[in-house]
Amino acid sequence: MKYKTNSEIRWHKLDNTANVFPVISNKTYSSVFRVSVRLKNEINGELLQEALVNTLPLFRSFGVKLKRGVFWHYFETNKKQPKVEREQEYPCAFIDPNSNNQFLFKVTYFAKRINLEVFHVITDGTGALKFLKALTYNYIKLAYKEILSEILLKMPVVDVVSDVEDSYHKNYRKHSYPRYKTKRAYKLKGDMLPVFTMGVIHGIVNMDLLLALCKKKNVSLTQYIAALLIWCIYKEYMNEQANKKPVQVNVPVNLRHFFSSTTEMNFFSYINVGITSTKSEYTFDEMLDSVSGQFEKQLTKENLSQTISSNVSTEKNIFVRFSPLVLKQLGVKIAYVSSTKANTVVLSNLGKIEVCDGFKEYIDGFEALIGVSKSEPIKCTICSFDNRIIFSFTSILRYPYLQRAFFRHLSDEGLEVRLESNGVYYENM
Amino acid sequence: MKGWRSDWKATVFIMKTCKRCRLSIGDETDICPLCRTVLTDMGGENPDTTYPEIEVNSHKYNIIKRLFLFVSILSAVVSTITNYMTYNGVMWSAITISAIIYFWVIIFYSIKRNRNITSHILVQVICVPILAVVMDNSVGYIGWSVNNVIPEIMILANVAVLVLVFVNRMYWHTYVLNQIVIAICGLIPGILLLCGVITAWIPAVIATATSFLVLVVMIVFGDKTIKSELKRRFHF
Repeated sequence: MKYKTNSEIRWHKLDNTANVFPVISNKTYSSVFRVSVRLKNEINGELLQEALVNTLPLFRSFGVKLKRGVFWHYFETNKKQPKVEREQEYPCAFIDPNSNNQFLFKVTYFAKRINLEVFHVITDGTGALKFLKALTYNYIKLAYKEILSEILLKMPVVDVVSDVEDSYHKNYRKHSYPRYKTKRAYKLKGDMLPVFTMGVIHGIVNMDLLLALCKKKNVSLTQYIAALLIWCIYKEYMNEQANKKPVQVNVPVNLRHFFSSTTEMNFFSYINVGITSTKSEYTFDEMLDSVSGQFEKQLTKENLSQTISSNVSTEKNIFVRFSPLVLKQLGVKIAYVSSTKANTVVLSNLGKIEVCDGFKEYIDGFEALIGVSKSEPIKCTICSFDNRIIFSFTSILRYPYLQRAFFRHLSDEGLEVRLESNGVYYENM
Repeated sequence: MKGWRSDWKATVFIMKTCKRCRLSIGDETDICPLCRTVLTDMGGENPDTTYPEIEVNSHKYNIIKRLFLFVSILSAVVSTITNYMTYNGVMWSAITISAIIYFWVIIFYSIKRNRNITSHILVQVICVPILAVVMDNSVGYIGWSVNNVIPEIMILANVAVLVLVFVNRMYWHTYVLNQIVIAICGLIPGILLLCGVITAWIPAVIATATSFLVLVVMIVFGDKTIKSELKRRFHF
């Protein structure tokens, strides 16, 4: 009998990007992000726990613990059960792989919101959203057992079960790739919030009105917002002066559409768009033109494929493969520090989130938050659901100058903005 | 329970607005979080709280840690100065300092949760020989550290892991990597003996033999689970 249980240990390797996260993460830079769903009624913790227990077996990528090998980290099946908790920490706090029953994610709830906090090593935003949606469906099924129709109660909560393919390796093509040089970007500086404190500001706007605004300028939403972030930094932080260092917006890109993958592990890359301020009278439209041009140039399958190949070929390098983990960690740390120098802010658009029809009436909206660090002190996410868009800013800077300029611009454009915060800015200003 | 707000427009009839930012604020507050302007009340019900109040309580633990750190540094400094002023050929303060460092390493390692029990043994296998050699050298090298302490700690560690494996046969695979490392460490006394560093041969031979035996046991009795564990640990 004992042999049977032991031989059942399943394991899988980390994907190409995930290898970075166990090395660079600590209490001050957690590599944790949060996706949340707002429901229309108060959350019941016990039902949520039950829903979580029902959901986890469908996701092999989530039911794991992180182990150290001699050459690489790896995931091993975690046989314990994760615990749902009432929210009691700042968002995106570090998840110690040795605590939390060794799970690399946390499910918490507060009032009408369910939060899924994920250590980036197991998955990216798309994978996390898939898990959150399945969890939400399972929760709604339990909470509204009596009123839901038979069809809804029997409806599967995921369409693909436990796809843990490393799509980076799957789509690796051996071709020559130019080594991209990282240029030092302009950095946001200023007084900090108290240590381990995270400021959160959400702004909710009407989607149709904002999309109409983008359409008028003939750009996409992400392009518009990326340009707006640069514009706000130029106005608020650079005081409309010339500066040698460019303002760089780092935009994570979901690669699943480009390479038709359904993996639940990480499968994303970045593009970097930026503007070097050479004069003191830029207009917003000028910036918008330049940014949307850069988007179109960088957001091609060709370009993304090159980035993948470059990253995977590093992992496949024979010297890298056989150097012990301790040595790799040192290398990754050095490479990571130099790569963050290239970003001013991070902007992640999770897109328009679709849910199954029957469940839609119980859901109010989705939002996402990304953990920040000293070198990237402000990060912004966009989540669209139904007819509204939620912009969420996480920041460790004391004064929300960027956020203020950002939302004032939107209201100047005639949009109604509703603001919500986690209260940090009332106490700590 | 309040009624369901299925229509977005319904949530937007806002209670408070900031006249500078021209935004509506959905928090329970009187000032704008962006610019601290006093808000204009537009009436309507109070919004729900959306975030909990956070208590940060990392202070208590830190005071104890700081106290220990202070005492450690104080005793290191005092013993060094005393040693220097009353120097008679014995560097006994090195013992104090290395013992303090040993203490900190062990404490820090022990309080980390979910550590494999054999890792604790491995840490001792690494730290105790260093401590012993420093002590031996600082009171004038006699050789008791390499002749006795190192081989004996290796024997002890190997036997301890064997006992653990025997008691917890189900979890042998979780110990196996550390067991290999400890067994290989156990071969060191044999090498030192060949190099002539060790002069008392009995403990060194026993230590090397024990380690060798442990490796043989692993090869002979290791089953599929051990093999697959090693495959995971050594994947490249």
